Amino acid sequence: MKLGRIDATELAQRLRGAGLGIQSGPFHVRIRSPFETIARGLHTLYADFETVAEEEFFDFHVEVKPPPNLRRWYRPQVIFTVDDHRPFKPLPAHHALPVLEWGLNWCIANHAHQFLMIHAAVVEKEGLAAILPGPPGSGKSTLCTALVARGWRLFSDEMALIDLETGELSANPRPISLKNDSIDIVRNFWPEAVIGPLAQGTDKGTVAHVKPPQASVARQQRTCRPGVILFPKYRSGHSASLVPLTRADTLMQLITSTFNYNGLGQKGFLALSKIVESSACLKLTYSRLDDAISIFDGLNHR
Amino acid sequence: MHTPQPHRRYALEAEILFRHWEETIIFHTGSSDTFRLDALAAFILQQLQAGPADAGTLAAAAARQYEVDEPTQLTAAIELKLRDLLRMDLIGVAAA
Repeated sequence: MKLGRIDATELAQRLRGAGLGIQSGPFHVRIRSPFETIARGLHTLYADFETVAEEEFFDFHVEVKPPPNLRRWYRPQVIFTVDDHRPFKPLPAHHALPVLEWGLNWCIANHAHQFLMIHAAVVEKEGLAAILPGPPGSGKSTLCTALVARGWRLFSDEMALIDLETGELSANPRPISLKNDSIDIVRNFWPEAVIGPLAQGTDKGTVAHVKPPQASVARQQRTCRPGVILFPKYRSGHSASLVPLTRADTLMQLITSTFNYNGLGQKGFLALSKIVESSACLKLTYSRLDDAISIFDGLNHR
Repeated sequence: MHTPQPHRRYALEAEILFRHWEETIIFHTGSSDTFRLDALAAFILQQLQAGPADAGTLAAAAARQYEVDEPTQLTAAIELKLRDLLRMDLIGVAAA
């Protein structure tokens, strides 16, 4: 049953009680929270995700809840726990929804070592999957959202999950995290986008999340082989340019963006070098989203 | 720090995986470190895969590879590169 078909009141009750299980890409996640903002946020942003029955196995049991002290009432705070472990310091309660998203990212990055995990957005069209690694400020999420708005399938806004055995990318099309100016850029570029509430004053500034398209969520179990590794760079006033990168440069840059490269040892090198060898390696500089999308649409014909 | 000497032999300290692209990338299975190497350093490591060798032997092999008439012309470059590889812990001094 899809999460969006659960009545909002019942959803909030389940989150306060035993919790709600959802299928998020290759993971089963059980979420508990007494916060209304979490219930509303899930109801909006995760409406197309399948729920998972309580008796199923869950990869992560997470809770977003008030701390067990006065900060429950005085300048209320929120804490994130996974299997009773608390990886972050408490944050203001009105950041509950971003805390859930950051917490889920933390869970995957620290536990899902069956995958090589690259900090990157991933999109796919007509069987061509493009990995977009990018540090904060590169415009990765804005570009990813714009591509999704124009028909590219969302694999992930946050990390490329590459199966160590098969080299296939697994999708995990959770809500896209936007920050600061990119929120209004996306509102203007994609007026139909469903954007969750603004969380202001976070460590990253103002944060909001874009609901993933229903079609991307419906296909989240379908894997794909990477075909393009493209490093995006937003540069104001710059006309769009696409230049090839050497495989050596690409691999060395990817290593710095890979969460678990060092821990995987030889397996990580073999997996990363394999995708570099089998992909076009490119750097895109752009200022206009439409220009960048035209370039992406041309990738299938290269 | 080790300094290359004419008759000292050098050896790999662990298996090395190579990717020969526009440049050579190697993965050192002992340390799990990844390096980008120039052609001469990669050549030396490949030679040492066959077994320990001294600077003179490596210079002779490099002379054949790069079609240099006089191997001694390469000895200084080889010794310099051996020093780099020792410092990077990619090679060690072979037991006598």
